[in-house]
This record gives sequence, C-alpha cells and structure tokens, in this order.
Amino acid sequence: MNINMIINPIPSTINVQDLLKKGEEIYQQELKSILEPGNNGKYVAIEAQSRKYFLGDTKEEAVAEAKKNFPDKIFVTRRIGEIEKIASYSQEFTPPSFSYDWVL
Amino acid sequence: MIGYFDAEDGKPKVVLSVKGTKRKEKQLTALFDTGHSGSLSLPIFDLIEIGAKLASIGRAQYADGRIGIDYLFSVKVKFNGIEKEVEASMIQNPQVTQAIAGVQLFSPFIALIDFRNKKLNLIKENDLRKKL
Repeated sequence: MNINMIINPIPSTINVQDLLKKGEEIYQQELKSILEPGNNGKYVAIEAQSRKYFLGDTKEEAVAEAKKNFPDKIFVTRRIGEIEKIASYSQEFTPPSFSYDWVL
Repeated sequence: MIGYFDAEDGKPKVVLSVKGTKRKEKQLTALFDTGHSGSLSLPIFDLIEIGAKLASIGRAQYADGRIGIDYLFSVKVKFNGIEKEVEASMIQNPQVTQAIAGVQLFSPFIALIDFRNKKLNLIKENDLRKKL
C-alpha cells in the first residue's frame, strides 16, 4: 500500500519547491515586465514546462482558464504585484516529525 | 434548503457534496464565510478521502506574516441540485475538520443571511428582483 497516498494528497512525483522556483523564475524573467503594473491585483497561472500563462481576476479563474488548455498539468499561481495574503484557516501546518511505524 | 444556522455555535452552515477523482462522493457541512475570497477550503483529510487532484501551487502570506504554500485542488461540488467544478484550497492543519465555503462558490446565487431570524437563503438574482 502506498503510505504517501494515505497521508498526503500532494502527488509524490511533484517536487513542490522546484516547481515553485521554476514558476517564479518565469514570472520574474518573462512576465513581470509585461504584467506589472497594468494587471496588479489579478492572478496568473503559469504552466512551467511550456512557459505559457493565463490570467484571472481570482486565482481560481486563472487556474480554470489554464486547465482548459492543459487539463492534466499542475500550475504555479501568483498574485500579480504584491504577494497574496490568505486567511488563517488555510494556514500551513508543519507536523512534528514522527515515524510511520504506527501504520505498519 | 441547503443553508442553516448551527444551533451549537450560531454560525451559518451549508450542506454540500464533494467529489474528487474517486467515485466516492462525500457530503459535508461547511461554514459559510462571507469573508472567504475563494470558493471552498477543504480539510486535508476530506481531500484525501475523495481523491481530489492537485491543480496548482503558489506562495502566499499568512496573517502572521509567514510565507507558505497554498494548494488548490479540483473538486466537483453539488448543492441545490447543481454541480460545478471548483478549485478548492487545502486546509493544511489536520486538526481543522471544518470546511469553509465562500460566496464565490454559490455564484450565480445570492446569499441572503437573516441574522435576526437565523435564516440563510440562496436565491438567484433574477428571482430576488421579482420579489423586490
């Protein structure tokens, strides 16, 4: 049984940090000068492999637009201009280190 | 009627069904938060249970100033007989089991919250205009 599937909804094939880094590089090198400041406050969803991007008034809109073109990809989203601020209930949780012995 | 005020905590709640890539559909009760900027936030264990597919990742800043990662998952949501696909954000703290629904989820409905009489109604804009 794949333990990772039980405890984590993030696919093990995805390196989240690498994908975020690539998305940010694309934004800084290619998109920032095009999108800012005219689109500040909107959201961009970046498909890192093709370097294509999709805009939306909300993050969900940008992702929905991107999915029309790349239904099976995972996108890097970013608020144009300032970083997105989110509510506390979405707060990231860092679990204490523990072993999976109890599962086995 | 999918909305009500919870007698236990006095907060508005809505009943939804959510579905991911698995065939299993899960019915859950979500807190209706008018300040929620998105459609839906789901606890991590609900996302795992329904097999929701990861759609996007992005950096975001929390209220305490920390920078974290916000994950969006593709989820099919059913309410009031309609089904729509939304991108739901993940509530990463496993101790939080309450789903949060935002106003964007209910578009094209308009939510009418009667705090005095503890009633929550969803109505289409055209139907509301007819009543006024």
